[in-house]
Amino acid sequence: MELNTKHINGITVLELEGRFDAHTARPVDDFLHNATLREPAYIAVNLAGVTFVDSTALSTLVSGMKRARQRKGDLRLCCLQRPVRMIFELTRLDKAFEIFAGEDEALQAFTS
Amino acid sequence: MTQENMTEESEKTVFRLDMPATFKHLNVVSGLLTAVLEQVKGLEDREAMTYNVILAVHEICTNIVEHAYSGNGGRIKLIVSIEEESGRLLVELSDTGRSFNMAATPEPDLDNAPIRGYGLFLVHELMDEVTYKPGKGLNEWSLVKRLL
Repeated sequence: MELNTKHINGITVLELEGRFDAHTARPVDDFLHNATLREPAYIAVNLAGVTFVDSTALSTLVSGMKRARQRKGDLRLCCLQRPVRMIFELTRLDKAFEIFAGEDEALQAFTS
Repeated sequence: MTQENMTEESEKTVFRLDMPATFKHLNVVSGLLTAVLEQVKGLEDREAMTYNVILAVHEICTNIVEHAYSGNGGRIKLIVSIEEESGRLLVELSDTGRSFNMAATPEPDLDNAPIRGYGLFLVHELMDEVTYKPGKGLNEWSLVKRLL
């Protein structure tokens, strides 16, 4: 899986591509640990290129989201492919996360 | 990987895979299931069905790697049987690692976004039948999905 990062107006944007699963989740977990050290921790994870998420990926994102909220920020998601979105709905994580259709909307939500 | 056509009795097509129990090889399982499901005609919402079956089987494999073998190797045997007429998919997995008590696994509290516990929940949600038979030296999983 590929990880690309950028910083826009104090928001850390993590773009992922490929399979996000037990084999590939570790670097994402490490990245989110570092990104949630500062306060406030504003993080947007762009899943446009992610073709597969498993339970380890869900755990990694939930863990990051909870740490970000403890740091007076949030971890928000955008651009989920349809089957991935369906897994978020099945696990009710679509209610726990703020999920946006596009990256711009996710970024704007941090500043509004 | 071998394929058998058992056309006379059960009209099943069977695929067998014997693979290392490591995370990095689990995409091979996805590849096999994708190829098998591509050949099933008349699947409604093929994209979601394929994803869901792959995810359920992947979660069992992950469970075997992490818990049965504690990440210390071992092998996973997998048999995929498809009855093309009825669309019944059967995936049998086995390992020779540690067994566990599935009934004692707590349901995740989905209203509170738990950090862990999604794996077996997803397997039960995504498949029509899930059976686990722990044994001395051999643990067996059986997953059924009615595709049509």
